[in-house]
Amino acid sequence: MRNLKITLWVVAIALIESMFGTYIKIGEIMPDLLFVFVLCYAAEKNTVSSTITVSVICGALADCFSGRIFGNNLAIFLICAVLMWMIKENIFKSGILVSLLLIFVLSVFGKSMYFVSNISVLKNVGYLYSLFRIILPEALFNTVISAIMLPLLRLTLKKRSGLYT
Amino acid sequence: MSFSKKRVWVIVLAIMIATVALAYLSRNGTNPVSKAVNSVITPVESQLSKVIHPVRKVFSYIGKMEEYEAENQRLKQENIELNARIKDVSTYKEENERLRKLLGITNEYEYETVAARVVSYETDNWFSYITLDKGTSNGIDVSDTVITSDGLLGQVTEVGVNWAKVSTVINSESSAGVRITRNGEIGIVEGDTMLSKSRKCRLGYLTANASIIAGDILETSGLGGIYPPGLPVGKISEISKDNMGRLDYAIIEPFVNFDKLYEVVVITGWSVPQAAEIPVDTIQPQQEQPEENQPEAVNDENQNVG
Repeated sequence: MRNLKITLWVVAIALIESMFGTYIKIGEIMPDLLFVFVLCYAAEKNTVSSTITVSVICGALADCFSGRIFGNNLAIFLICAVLMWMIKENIFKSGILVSLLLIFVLSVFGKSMYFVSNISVLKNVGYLYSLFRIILPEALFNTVISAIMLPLLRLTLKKRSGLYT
Repeated sequence: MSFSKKRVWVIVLAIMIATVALAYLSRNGTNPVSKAVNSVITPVESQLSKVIHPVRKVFSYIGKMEEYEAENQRLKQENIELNARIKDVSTYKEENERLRKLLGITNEYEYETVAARVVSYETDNWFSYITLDKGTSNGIDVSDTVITSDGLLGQVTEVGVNWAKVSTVINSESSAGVRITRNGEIGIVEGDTMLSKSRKCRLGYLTANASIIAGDILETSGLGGIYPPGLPVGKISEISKDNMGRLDYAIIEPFVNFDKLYEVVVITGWSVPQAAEIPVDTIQPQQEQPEENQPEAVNDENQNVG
């Protein structure tokens, strides 16, 4: 049942992102919903194996939709999800505000990685421009979306015992 | 670091190596994972888009009612002017056909086409790709040109049985050989990451002694053999000059409205006509052309010039 719920989440987010992505833009910037979902899932102290599985599936989906080299998003999603899981597991164990802050920081980190990995084809654009005009606004947007997504995810994936395994 | 954490990083590393290997093996074609996923997802998106597109159109219409009214008035005025020009155009058309026959170029503008529906849009803030609901089963192939009723949209970069990914002209990976309709000057329109945010692209690589003005209309030149010639691309909206007052580059506003893409046409089976061979000496980067009014050459080894 839990796996079915996660699958439904992923499919719904993937469809929303690919079909409505351009309609939820603010100031020409749109959030990366699949990336937000992966970070939210990792922040919710799920098992590391399920965190890796979800991040790989979502990363692969993002790569399939992107039309670009396969593996670029997958690698970034995976690294950021594992980092989020480790930080939540070992350093900051609870608190939604901490999760939101980490989502913001990891969004900046992940999208900076994306910029670096695509630098050869991003014409006439420097890192500072990208940071202030694309990466930071997107990270902020991602954080706002995650503030809505986190409680919803917590609600739908919560086990009766109230604990995750 | 405990064993389990070590194992986590080993798994992460293994997945990344497998991904890199998969990306490397499929570097010359569409990835098998991408093919499978898009083959399943695109029909779902296609069905959903049939419901969603009319709703989008209605909301778009309500939101821009005043704009449409003004546009209607402008079009009525234009219609009157165009009617006055029809007589001149038909004379030119006859002359054009006569000259074409004379040159033996008869089928240059007769393309096989496939109509397709846009089912999904770009999913990140860096690149501009769209997905169509038709693929190889409809005769679409990689490198096919995609147009709308307004003009050139882009080129197919990936294709599956029932889907195709299109890299649009504003994508930073795209470039197209163009001709200025006013004076026949040729140049290259390239995507630009910064300009693509405002749905624009840039014009560079103009020939020696090129003269351009804001408002100039651009169409594909056919040089390079990727895009067929004569497809409307856009108009020059701004000309940027460097500190010395020399032409730096021009900003192009494409005719295609990227926020209202519903149906498109894919040109299939087009091949380079004999008459459109590239006169290599006519395309030179600006650094090698010290004369005034030359655009800056933007060199990128990854670009395809259509």
